[in-house]
Amino acid sequence: MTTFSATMRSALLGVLALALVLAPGGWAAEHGHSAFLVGSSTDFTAIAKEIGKDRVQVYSPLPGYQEPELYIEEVFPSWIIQASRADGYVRIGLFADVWADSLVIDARNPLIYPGAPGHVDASQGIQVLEVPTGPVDRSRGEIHLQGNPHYLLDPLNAKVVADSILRALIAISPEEADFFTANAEDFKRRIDEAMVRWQEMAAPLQGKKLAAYHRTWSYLLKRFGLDIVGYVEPKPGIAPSPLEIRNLVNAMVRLDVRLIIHAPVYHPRTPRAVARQVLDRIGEPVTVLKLPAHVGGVPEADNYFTLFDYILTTLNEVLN
Amino acid sequence: MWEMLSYPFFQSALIAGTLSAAMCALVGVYVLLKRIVFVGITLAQLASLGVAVALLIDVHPMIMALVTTLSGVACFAMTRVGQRVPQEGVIGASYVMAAALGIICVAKNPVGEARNLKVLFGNILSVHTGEMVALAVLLAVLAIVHVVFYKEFLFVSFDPETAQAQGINVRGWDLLLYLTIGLAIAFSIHSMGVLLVFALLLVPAMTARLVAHRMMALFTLAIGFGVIAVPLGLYLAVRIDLPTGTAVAGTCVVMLLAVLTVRGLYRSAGRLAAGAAVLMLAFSLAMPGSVAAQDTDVERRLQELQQEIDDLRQSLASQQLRLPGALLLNPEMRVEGNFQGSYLAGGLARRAEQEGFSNNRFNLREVELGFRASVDPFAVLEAVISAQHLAEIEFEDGEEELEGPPGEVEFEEAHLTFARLPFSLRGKLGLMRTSFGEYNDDDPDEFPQIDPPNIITQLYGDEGEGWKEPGVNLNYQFASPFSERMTHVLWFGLYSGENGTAFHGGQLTEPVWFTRFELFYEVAPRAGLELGLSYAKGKRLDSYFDDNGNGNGDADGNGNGLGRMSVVAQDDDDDDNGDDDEEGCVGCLVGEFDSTLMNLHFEFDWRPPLYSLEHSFGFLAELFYSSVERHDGTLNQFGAYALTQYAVNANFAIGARFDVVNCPGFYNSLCANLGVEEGETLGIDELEDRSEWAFSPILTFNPSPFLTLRAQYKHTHRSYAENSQEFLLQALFIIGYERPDVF
Repeated sequence: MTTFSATMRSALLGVLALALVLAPGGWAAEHGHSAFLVGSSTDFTAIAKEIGKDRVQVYSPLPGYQEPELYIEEVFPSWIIQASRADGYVRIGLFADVWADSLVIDARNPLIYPGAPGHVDASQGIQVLEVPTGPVDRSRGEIHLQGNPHYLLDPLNAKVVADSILRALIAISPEEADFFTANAEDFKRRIDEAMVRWQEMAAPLQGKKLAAYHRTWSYLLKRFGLDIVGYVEPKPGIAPSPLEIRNLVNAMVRLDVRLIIHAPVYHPRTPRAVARQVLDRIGEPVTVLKLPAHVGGVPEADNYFTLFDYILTTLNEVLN
Repeated sequence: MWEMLSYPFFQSALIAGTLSAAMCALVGVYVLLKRIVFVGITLAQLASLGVAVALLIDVHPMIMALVTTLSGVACFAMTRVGQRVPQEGVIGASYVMAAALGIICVAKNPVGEARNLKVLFGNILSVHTGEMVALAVLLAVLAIVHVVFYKEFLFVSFDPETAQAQGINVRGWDLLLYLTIGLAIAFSIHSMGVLLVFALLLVPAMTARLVAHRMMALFTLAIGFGVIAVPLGLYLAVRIDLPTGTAVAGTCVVMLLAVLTVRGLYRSAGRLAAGAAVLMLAFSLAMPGSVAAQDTDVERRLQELQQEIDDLRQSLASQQLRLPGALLLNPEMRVEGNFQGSYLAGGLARRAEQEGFSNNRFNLREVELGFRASVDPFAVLEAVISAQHLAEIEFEDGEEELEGPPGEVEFEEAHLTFARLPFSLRGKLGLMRTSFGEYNDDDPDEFPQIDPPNIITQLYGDEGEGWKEPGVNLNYQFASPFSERMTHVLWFGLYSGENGTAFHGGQLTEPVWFTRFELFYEVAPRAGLELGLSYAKGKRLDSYFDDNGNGNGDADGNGNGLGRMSVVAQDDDDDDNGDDDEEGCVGCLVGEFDSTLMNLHFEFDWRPPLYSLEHSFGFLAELFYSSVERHDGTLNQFGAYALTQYAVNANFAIGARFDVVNCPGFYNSLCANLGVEEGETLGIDELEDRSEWAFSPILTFNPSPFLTLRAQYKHTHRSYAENSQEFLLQALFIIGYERPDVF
């Protein structure tokens, strides 16, 4: 009995002492930055860096070639540690990064709890595409209940996201408001300028038809006027059935489609099989093309601007 | 005007408005005759409260409006006039209550105030087809009721005393009349709003009253005025850009003034009528001017309105979808099912109660119903109820006897999680999995196997569910000083000690406590390893109970240190449920022997960094050490299992498990019971010789992330009983929320 109480007391004291010694706090300030932002994807950290420059430190748990929506269960401990030190958290929203809920809670950091100024749901203010209608259940696969979350593949949406991040940064570090605001304005201006260039690059792509692995590209294709004829994986998250593959092949043959695009995270095996079947039917080679879906998806796409430069250049090379 | 009719929103507004107007005007005559104008507006306000509540809890506004309005009707029809509190008082108080609650509901509605205010004031332009059909049906019903009971309604309205004297059930007829009024209001309120409903209830009837001399004329004119006001008001609203509801209500009043004026002029009445006439003339003179001025803009205005409505519909649709399943304040839900089939190819059969299922049958092992929601900003509640349908096999005199199949419902888990404790601690409170070792830290269904590891069954019994207890625990996670990729977690927990095998007879004076230290190391973006050490210590009763509730060790208390058992043995009920007896004991006895458990676990999980959907590999090994104090000494034993799985592609995975157990020797461990005569217990030496090992290849097929089909072959080798060979099949499925788990 006495041993029990004694052990318990010392164990509790030990926990408390450790807690005091190791409690996180003021991490960003200690490291010479006015703000430390964690984002669910590299796109957010790229945009945050455009606004905050060297006064903001950023961290994204996932490399750009990964897809945040594919992480359902895993929240790695190192992410939690980073989030516990963060001044702000930028999430994709639209149920794409469900894991961010538990990450934010597990981080035990009031600065990034939902409702705090440092918690940014970047989907706010975005005109969301493909919001499901009718009965929504898992018979349609892992569909996005609130619509397609790949909204940053339309460059104009980056302006909306930049404003959301700007608001959070100003709330975190009001004394830097002018600096952040000027950078955000500059970023939006550069997007507008680049948009002219991108539209010119996309002009020869107008109306071109292609197939894709997953519904990653809706915003991109809508903005630049390309036409999608089908998906290798029509029900998200569910491996395609032979019938679905046959339907896609038939559609590609009928419409003479010679390109299948996929995000880096998806293995090209099935798209290649589809390409071979189409080749057998029309006698023309079909290209399977890996395109980055986020900043850092391929080494060339190292910031938000080069992401679109790369995508449009590559599409032009293949389609024309 | 005619081009407006081509717009669908205008058509629906016109139809719904006309139907509501006819309905309200019809019952409005009685509102006027019975001088219950105040009742009218109060019912309208109650109906709008219903709409506000409906929006808050996400049911159809018409249904909730019906509920609140009819409650109001019942209340008003029941209260008598002439009591100390006059009926007007009750009605007035109801009005205040309805208005105040309505505003509170709107203010507390997370969807947003603007939309709700719009709906509260009615939005005749966004009427749905379903509502139109409902309105038409109700109008038909009300018309029939009023035609059939015309005489009765009039009699009790005009002269209730005489009616009463003639033996007519005045209250009954009154109630029916109020009911029709309530129905008309409740059905109209969603599209028309409080103001318009009240206007249509009162004003057309008043207008008709001015000119009609016979009852039939009064009804006809009232309905006529109401019905005319709607297209007129809508037309004006579109032409000169007025809010539609207000425009219709205004038209009613203008018609009233016009009739007053004509009547006043006709009768050379006084100033009031003259003044009204001047007002009306001014209004009607001003209007054609403005109408003419804007005539060319009508088309544009209509298109704008159509656009506005499309936008409104779209924003409503997207707002509703943006709520998780439009649940509002309801908890998230999840149903998880575990269906199994088991075939015994040879050897020793299973005991359903300890191992979770029995051989040679299909078992609905478990259906779990989980609820999860934030209680407040500080705590999250998760409650999981599980139901089982098991067949049980009893062993008596070496014979197998099939019983059941009993169904059982129990709380699997019900705990609060506190994420905002001081010092970045995280806490749990309630009935939970204890987090001692890896198996007790996760949902058992998360592990890629069908039956639980042997050591888990031997240590904790309880159908292989592992160790769950009511209690509290705290954990603290911190970055490692050695590497950015390394993190640590420290745990401490305090539990009652109700497990029944390793720990039982616990109380807060003698609780079970546990502590755990974990180390994570991230090898790659999607690969990590985990090493953990857990320690638990608590008390245990000095004997155990068989399925009849009798102490199997020394039921008669014949002197070998088990004297306390006699207290339990007297509770010799006839049920087959050992649980009840154990629970009885948890309250009445405190365990006096120590149980000490230690656990060392190692886990490695890997997915390719790039094509992470294609393959995965997992390995988990847990080593248990138990030190069990007994009347005849202390028994120290080891047990372990290693579980591994490799996903060859997105759908298929192969796996295997190896078990090795030295019997831990708790009184109701399976291995301490098999082959033991009733009334006898095994000594330490005999228990030390009891050991078993098992090997299981496992094949898993996942058609989707929400459905798993699994097959397992298990060979168990026992030193103390027959070996067994089993084939197991399993279907696991989940609907509802997924639980993102910490690695």
